[in-house]
Amino acid sequence: MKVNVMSDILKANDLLAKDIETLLGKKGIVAWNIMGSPGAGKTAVLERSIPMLTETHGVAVIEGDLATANDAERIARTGVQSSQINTNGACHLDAAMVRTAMETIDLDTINLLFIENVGNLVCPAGFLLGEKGRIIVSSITEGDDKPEKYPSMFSTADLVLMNKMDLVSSTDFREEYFRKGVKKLRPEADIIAVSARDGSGLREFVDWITEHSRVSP
Amino acid sequence: MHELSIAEELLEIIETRARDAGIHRVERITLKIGEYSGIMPEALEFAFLVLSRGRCTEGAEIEMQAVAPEYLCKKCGLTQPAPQEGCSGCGSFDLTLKRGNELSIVSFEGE
Repeated sequence: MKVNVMSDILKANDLLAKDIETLLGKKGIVAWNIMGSPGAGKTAVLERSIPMLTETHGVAVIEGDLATANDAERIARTGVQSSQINTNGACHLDAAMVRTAMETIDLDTINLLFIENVGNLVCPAGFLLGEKGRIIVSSITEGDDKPEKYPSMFSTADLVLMNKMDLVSSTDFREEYFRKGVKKLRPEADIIAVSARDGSGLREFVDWITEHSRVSP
Repeated sequence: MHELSIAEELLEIIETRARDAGIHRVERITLKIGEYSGIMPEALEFAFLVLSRGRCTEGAEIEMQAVAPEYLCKKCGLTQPAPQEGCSGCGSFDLTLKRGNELSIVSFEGE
């Protein structure tokens, strides 16, 4: 006997992600899934941008790491709510982990939720978390061929931040080559050059978030 | 990526559906794996083999249909493989990925 299934293998996760999206939508909250390599500067970009974002938004951050609460502590120092998920070895966040972490956040005081995924350019791509969109932080020291090497992740990005641009003169990073690599995989993605260290480009990032996080009344 | 946990999800879905259909032994499974899914077919097959021991899928043959990425131009409607610099028909960058990140079960057979 043959049974037609036609089901996504990750359907259970996708359904839970949909529930999260609905819950956030009811509360008027927009979530962004922040992905990138370990050390790309995901937390640093958030740390430097949060003071600008809180001028107009209520912000919270869920931090995903294999171990330690270092990143949630860094975020907490900016004065916003943060919640740490320790995956204890798992290479990505899934919707169930995010749902649990959300219980520690006061959702009535925020309208912007950043979910910083585990540093990894492969695994997080397959797991929806209830986000409106995906932001990849890619540091220029990782090389300009990262998009073409990691198509599964870059093909889902809504925004790509080229971080550590203050170091560009010390590297062989070809900005145009990188941009083309992203556009091949995800033509509609926006790309912004930033430096979390000297702050350049972060205002443009904050404006992008503001523009794309509007909730229709 | 994490093929072992994907294989476990796959097995659990098949076990449930097989039980519903009164199937005790699954002989063949057909999957669709997009080239952009991040899944390594060999690793998934190995994980499946290991996890299947003593379960209804033990010894089942697994067929994986690869799905090449396909983009749709929202301006001119042309469907195409990964674009080089914008749409190969009209040059627009308003393209969206339609196929290529699948990770799904098509069907299974057994008795």
